[in-house]
Amino acid sequence: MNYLQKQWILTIYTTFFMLVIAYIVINPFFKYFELFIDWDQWQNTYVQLKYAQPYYINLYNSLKITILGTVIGVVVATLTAYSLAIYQFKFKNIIMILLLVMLMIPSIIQIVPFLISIQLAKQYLDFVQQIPVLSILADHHLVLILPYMVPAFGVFIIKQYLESILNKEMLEAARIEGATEGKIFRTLILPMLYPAIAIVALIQFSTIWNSYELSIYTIGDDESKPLAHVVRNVGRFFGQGGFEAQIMNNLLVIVPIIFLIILSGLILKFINADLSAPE
Amino acid sequence: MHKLDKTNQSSAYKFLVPFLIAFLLVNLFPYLTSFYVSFQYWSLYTPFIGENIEFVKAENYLLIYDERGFFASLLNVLLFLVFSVFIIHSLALLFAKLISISAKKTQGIILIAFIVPFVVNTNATNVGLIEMGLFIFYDPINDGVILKSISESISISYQFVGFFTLIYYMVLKSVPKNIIEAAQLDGASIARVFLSIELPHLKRMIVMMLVLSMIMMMQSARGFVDIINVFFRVGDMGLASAFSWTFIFLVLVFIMTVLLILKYRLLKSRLVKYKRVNKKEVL
Repeated sequence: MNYLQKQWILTIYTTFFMLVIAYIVINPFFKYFELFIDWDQWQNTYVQLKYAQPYYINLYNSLKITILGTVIGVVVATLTAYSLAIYQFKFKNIIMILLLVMLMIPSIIQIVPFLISIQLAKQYLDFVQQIPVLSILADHHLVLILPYMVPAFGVFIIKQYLESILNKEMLEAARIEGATEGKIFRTLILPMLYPAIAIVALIQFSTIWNSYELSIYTIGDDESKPLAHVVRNVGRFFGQGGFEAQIMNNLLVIVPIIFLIILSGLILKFINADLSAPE
Repeated sequence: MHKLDKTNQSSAYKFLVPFLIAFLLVNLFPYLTSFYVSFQYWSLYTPFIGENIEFVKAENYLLIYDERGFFASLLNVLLFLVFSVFIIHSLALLFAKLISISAKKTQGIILIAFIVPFVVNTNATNVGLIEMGLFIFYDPINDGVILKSISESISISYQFVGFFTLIYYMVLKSVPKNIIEAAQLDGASIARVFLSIELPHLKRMIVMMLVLSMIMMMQSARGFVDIINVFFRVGDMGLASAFSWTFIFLVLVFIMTVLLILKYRLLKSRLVKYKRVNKKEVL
């Protein structure tokens, strides 16, 4: 049968998806079109870019927060999911219930408790900074990573994926050969988990990259804000931030898409896997 | 055997160490402190020491009801949940079916394109949607609750339809192929197969996804975010934490009632039928 005629709905919807984003990215170039024609204007803009808000520092902050948060979240999710999928232990049910509750509580409620604990931490900060290892805690960017440290949804994704592809005989064979539990995880299981890890990393990356609610209340000076916080109002009223702000807004849109394209092979592998758990 | 079990238990806890540390640090401690603070009067701009904290019993919880915006924002969030969940799931099921019957070559590109809005910043896409004229009927200052929540749910469904399409596409593949082929041999069309074979198979999954999507929507409900911003500007942390606990409790109650209704209306009847069939077969 020829199903091609049924694809027109999909085609229209996908182009609509893409059009909105293409519009956001291309619009500033049309808006500031005279910049590209007039040489004097171009020089003026360059000077403005030099002395305006230092957006590249915000970009650096955002990249730092996002990459650190993604790595931490993925590590925590993978280890937890591995432990829950493979082993039978006493408090397994309690931990599953905890994860479900964490999934149910929306992350925005965390802002209030976090502000309280940040205030608490500030009181003891002077004491903490004297200890060399713990002085990392004084970095106020760490606070922005904290709410995303345990991705409960990611734990369930990886656990489901692992249960569907796992071969228990292989595990027992490795144990009889004398492999330690850590070695089994590193050399046997981890390479099989890459597709599930990719999708968890994508979710982590995009949520941390786009989040700014917490930084509004915790970070005061412009130079240590993440990019999503600084340009959050650029879109609202066009022309508010000038050309450089528009370009940074474009970067804010494009970076996660680049990350998605890099991971797209693994993600397609995850989508096409058979996820029904064997009974 | 017993010895192996013991080593297994210890290694299971070794793998759980990062999770437990993160859980204590990120979830348990902040929530307990905020629950404690919700019974106190404390301003964010003073240090968290005994003399600045005043025990006010349940006064914070009572004060919320005097707040004029509370019920309006609650209504806004509930309407927003209902509208957005309806749009998202009907569209996502349709698109998942359409992708699964489309040509194999284009499937990959379409699926990746469907994830893109989920990854992109919401503020930026909202601007794109507004400037492209999708919110012509929307006026943020003068409009009532219903129009506001409709326009909010359009913008949120733009972001989430692709994500749920992906999930439904993955679940659709688990429907046994031989039943579908048998139906097609009997002359059932694609729509008939979808409505009377695949949808009943997906019922459980759909109910799960409804609850999950409601929770995901709640994180970006503007009614909630706006009112909590007011408390932050004042700096009254007791009121803010009391508000967030009440709000979360009410919305969770709402989601749970929806879940229970769905369970009894959709799932229960189906389960009974299956059981009867099984008994007959056994006999």
